[in-house]
Amino acid sequence: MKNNFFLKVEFSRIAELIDFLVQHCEELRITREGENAGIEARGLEMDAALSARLAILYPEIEVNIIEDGKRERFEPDLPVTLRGILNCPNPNCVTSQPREPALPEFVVVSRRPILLLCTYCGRYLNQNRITAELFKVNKKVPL
Amino acid sequence: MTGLKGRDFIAITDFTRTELESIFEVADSMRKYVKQGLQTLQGRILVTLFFEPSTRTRLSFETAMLRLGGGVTGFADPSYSRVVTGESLADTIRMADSYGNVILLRHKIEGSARLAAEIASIPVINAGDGTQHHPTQTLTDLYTIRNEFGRIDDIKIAILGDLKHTRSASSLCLGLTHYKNIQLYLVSPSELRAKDEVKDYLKGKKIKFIEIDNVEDVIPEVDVLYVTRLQKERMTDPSEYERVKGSYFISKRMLDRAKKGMIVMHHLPRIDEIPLKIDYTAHARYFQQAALGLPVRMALLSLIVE
Ligand SMILES: [Zn+2]
Repeated sequence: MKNNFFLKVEFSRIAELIDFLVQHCEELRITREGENAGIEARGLEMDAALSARLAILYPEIEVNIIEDGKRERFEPDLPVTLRGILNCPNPNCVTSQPREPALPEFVVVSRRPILLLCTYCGRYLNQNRITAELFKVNKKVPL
Repeated sequence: MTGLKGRDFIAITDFTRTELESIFEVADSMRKYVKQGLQTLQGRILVTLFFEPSTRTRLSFETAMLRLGGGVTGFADPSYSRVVTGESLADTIRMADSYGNVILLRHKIEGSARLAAEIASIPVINAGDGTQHHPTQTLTDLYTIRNEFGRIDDIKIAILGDLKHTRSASSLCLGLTHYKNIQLYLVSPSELRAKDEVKDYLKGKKIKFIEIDNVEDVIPEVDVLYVTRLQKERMTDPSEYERVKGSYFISKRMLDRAKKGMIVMHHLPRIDEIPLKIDYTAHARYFQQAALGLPVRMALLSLIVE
C-alpha cells in the first residue's frame, strides 16, 4: 500500500537515500532543517525490504507517516530474519553463487549497533561492511 | 531414539545433548560390529559427494555404511568435481537425492551443506563446509573424550593451532557448548584466534574460555590437548611463523609436565605438529580417536537413515 511519508535524516547522508527513494515514490520534496534534511515522499510503498533498508543503513533516521495532514511517528520494522533483502558480502558463501538457488538470509543479532549473522555461511555482517550496494539483491528462483 | 530418523546433520549444534548421547550409546554397541558387521542398512545407499578431497572422513563413512550392510556410490576425486562444476550444486543434489538414502557432502563453499539439506528429501550429512562446520569430526572427538573420562562435563581442554581457519577446531568449540563446567583454552598466534562468531556463541552458552599464546602455560592443567596444524601460508608474515612455530609443535619435554591421564588428540593427518616420539607415550590418543570415528559413524547412519 502506498502512503505519504516524512523522513528526517542528517543532511550529509541524503544523497544515496534520495537516489533510492526517487525510484520508489511518486513525488519527492526536500527541505533543509538545520543539520538535517526533511524529505517528503509521496506515494511511497513501505514494504519489508525498504523498512529493513532504512533501519539498517540509517539507524538514526526519523520516519513519520502522514495521515490527514498529520505526522505520526513510524518505526521502520526490522524482523528477526531478513530473507532476500540484502546480499552476503562473503564471496565464498553459497548465497553468493549466482547459479545456486539459495536466497541470502540473515538473523539480526543486534539492532544498535547493527549486527547480522548469515544463516548459510555463519559469518557476521557488521555496520562497517554494510553498504547500499548489498541491498541490490538479484532475486533468484525461490525454493 | 527414533527421533533422529530422516534428520540432517549440518552443524554439531543441530542435535541436542540428549540426541548426541543417544548416538554415543549406539556407538558403544556398534564397537563389537566394526569388524564383523551388521545387516541393518541392507539395500540402503550412501551417496558421497566430495568436491574437496578428504580421505579419512570419506573412508570412515564408506566403511561404516558397508559394515551396516548398505552400499556406497558417489565421487571422491576432486578432478571429477571439476567436471561437475559445469552443473550447479543444487542439480547434483537433486540427482543424488533420487539415487540414494543419505548424502554425505564436502564442499569448500560455505553454507553448501545447508542448501543441500533444503533441497534433498533424504538426510544430508555435512562432511565439512567452509571453516566452521565438521559435525561428524566433532561427534568423534566428543565420543573419544567420553570414552576416556566417562564424561564430557567438567573437562579442561586446550585447543591449539590455527583456530581461525581449522573447521575441526571451530566445530569442537561449538560442540563443547552442550556440556557443563567446561574450561576451554584457545591457544593460537594472535592473528589466528577463533572467529568472533564462534567466541560469541561460546559466550552466549556461558562457556568459560581463555585465549592464550603459549600452550606450555596450561599443559599441567588440562585433561585434553587438542592439536591442529599451524600452516605457514596462513600467516601474513613468514618470519612470524618461524618465530612462533615452536609453541605450536608439541614436544615430549612439554608433556613431562602434563597430568598423568592427559590425552593428546588430533583430527589427522598430522605433519610436524606431533612428533613420532609422542605416539609411544601414554598420552597419545589420536589413532584411537580416528578408530572411534567408525562406530560413531555407524551409529549416526543407523539412527538417521530410514
Ligand atoms: Zn553468507
